[in-house]
Amino acid sequence: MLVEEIPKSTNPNSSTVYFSSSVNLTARPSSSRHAQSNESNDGASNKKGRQKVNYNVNQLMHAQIQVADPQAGSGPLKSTQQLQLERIVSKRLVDLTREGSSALFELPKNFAYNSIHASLDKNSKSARLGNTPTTKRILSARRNLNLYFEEERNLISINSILGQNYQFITDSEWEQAKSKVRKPVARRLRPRLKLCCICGSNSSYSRCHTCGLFSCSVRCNNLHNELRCV
Amino acid sequence: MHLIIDNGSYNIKAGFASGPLLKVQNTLTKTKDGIIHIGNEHIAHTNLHSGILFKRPYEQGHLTSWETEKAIWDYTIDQLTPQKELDPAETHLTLTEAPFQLPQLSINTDQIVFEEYGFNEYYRCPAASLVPWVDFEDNSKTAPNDFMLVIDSGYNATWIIPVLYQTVYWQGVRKLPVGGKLLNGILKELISFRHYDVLEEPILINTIKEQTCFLAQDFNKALASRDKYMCEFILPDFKTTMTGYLRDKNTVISPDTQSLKLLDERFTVPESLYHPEIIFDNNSTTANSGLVQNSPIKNLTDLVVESIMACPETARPLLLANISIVGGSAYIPNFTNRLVLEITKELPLHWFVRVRQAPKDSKLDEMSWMGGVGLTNDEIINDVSISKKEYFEHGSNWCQKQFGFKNTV
Repeated sequence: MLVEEIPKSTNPNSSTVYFSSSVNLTARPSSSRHAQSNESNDGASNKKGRQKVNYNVNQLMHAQIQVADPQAGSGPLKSTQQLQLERIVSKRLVDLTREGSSALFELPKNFAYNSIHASLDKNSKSARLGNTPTTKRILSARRNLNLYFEEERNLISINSILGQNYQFITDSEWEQAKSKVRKPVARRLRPRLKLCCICGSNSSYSRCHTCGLFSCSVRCNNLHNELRCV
Repeated sequence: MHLIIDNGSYNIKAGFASGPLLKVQNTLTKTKDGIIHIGNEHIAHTNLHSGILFKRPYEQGHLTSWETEKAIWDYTIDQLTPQKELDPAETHLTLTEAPFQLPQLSINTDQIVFEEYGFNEYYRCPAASLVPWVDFEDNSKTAPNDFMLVIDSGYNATWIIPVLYQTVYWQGVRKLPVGGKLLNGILKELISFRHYDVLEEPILINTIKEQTCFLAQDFNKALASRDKYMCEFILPDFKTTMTGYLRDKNTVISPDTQSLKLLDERFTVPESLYHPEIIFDNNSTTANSGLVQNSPIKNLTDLVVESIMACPETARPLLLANISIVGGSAYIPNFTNRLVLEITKELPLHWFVRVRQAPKDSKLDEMSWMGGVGLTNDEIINDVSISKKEYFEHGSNWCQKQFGFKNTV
């Protein structure tokens, strides 16, 4: 995190964000949630007749990101549509990448692998517990990815990481809003494949109106209605 | 001594710089009899592959579970040096990780490397950044290559990573979440619907994919004449075959043998690299969602072009002429030819696309590891590594600052 002194001539359009007590007042978000939390923070200091200045750079940065105007292109603010799209897509991907239908198994408490290397196995009785407090914590964490994501404080890193996952599918309207010049975004990059859900051949019919799957012939359509249509 | 570990989400590729390379599946498995196997142990128990459960240290490409990974690493090191002692205090470790790994998880890795194993020196990087250090077959000068577009098609995802002067150009990195695991999932759905229920047979599915799937040069043409591509996969009967195999013309089989007749499954499944809508069209939730259907989907080609265009203009032709295809999923037959065909279609006519020839007898999924050997033979390794002393002086956050990714938004 870069904190710099403000140069004499501040350019309001410059992309660098400077933090100081005076800038902070303008940078404070206008959303009610933040106003409330700030008020409760300020309560104590206000008794001294002085306004408390928030020097927490991390918090300030979060505030900046949350109120950032998507038109300005400075904030990775996502439309609700895009978020919904990402939810559907990631659910489907997770479903497909599950190995075996049943849930993952849990390691039993006493599970340990005894290495033949003495140097790796000097504390064989507590092989899984780790040598130092930090590694003890890591080796017994048993946490999933979501918990780690929730804990991560740096929103910019999270956006960099998660942004990678949905590069291949983005809501077209959000894409348009992001680019400053309103140029038409190529909606269809190439014709989509329409594959029959029964036999896999090219389908020239429209989707099934109840479930959205394609079928290629009357025969397949009948089969589809019997078997796959929900 | 230099130890190089390419910690993939499917296979760990580990070995000393002097060779040989050892591949260990990066997973714990639990078979029907309730026994937990580490790494490659389960492969021999072919009669127990049905209903096998996996516990992988990787979750969606992030190394989350060190309680799992620790056991697999210990097993790997045992296999690697069964005779002599490995002395971590005398060893330099080169370790790879997935691009854009959550910083906290990378920090955990650093802490395990130094505090648990106590390696003396350490260098961590994305696997792709090691590929330029491979001595390519058609190379006029020796490694390293200064410009390289690495297309790493692994188990979890396919990454497109421009590597300029042996460092990853983070703005140009693109990801398509189609990897071996997802292809297995699509194949599993297709076979379960058309033939037999194979939901509990992850290893069988993987075998079928590896033996039968290929990328069609022209998908629509292949689909129209799909009978030509018919093949018969003999399912395991646990008497004559435990894993199943592909039937060729001369195989005589008994009349009660169960087999799969595969037609368009063979090329429709890998086609999801170029038509990712295949992933969403065969499922009523995603097929019915207007949002998914109306959003433009980018395929591998679009992402490669996007990645090239995100790089500095002067580097673009150099990257295009130095494409390197690595990773286990790149073994799908015709992967390279199809990719070249598709990229050439998208780009201006006079742009020259070249895929670098891998060295003879080298394997695509071992390229990063081989690059790691190349790197450790170079003096520069001493400048980029972090020693145990430095780690204890500066801490793990500093480590992440040296090795971690740069934010792109």
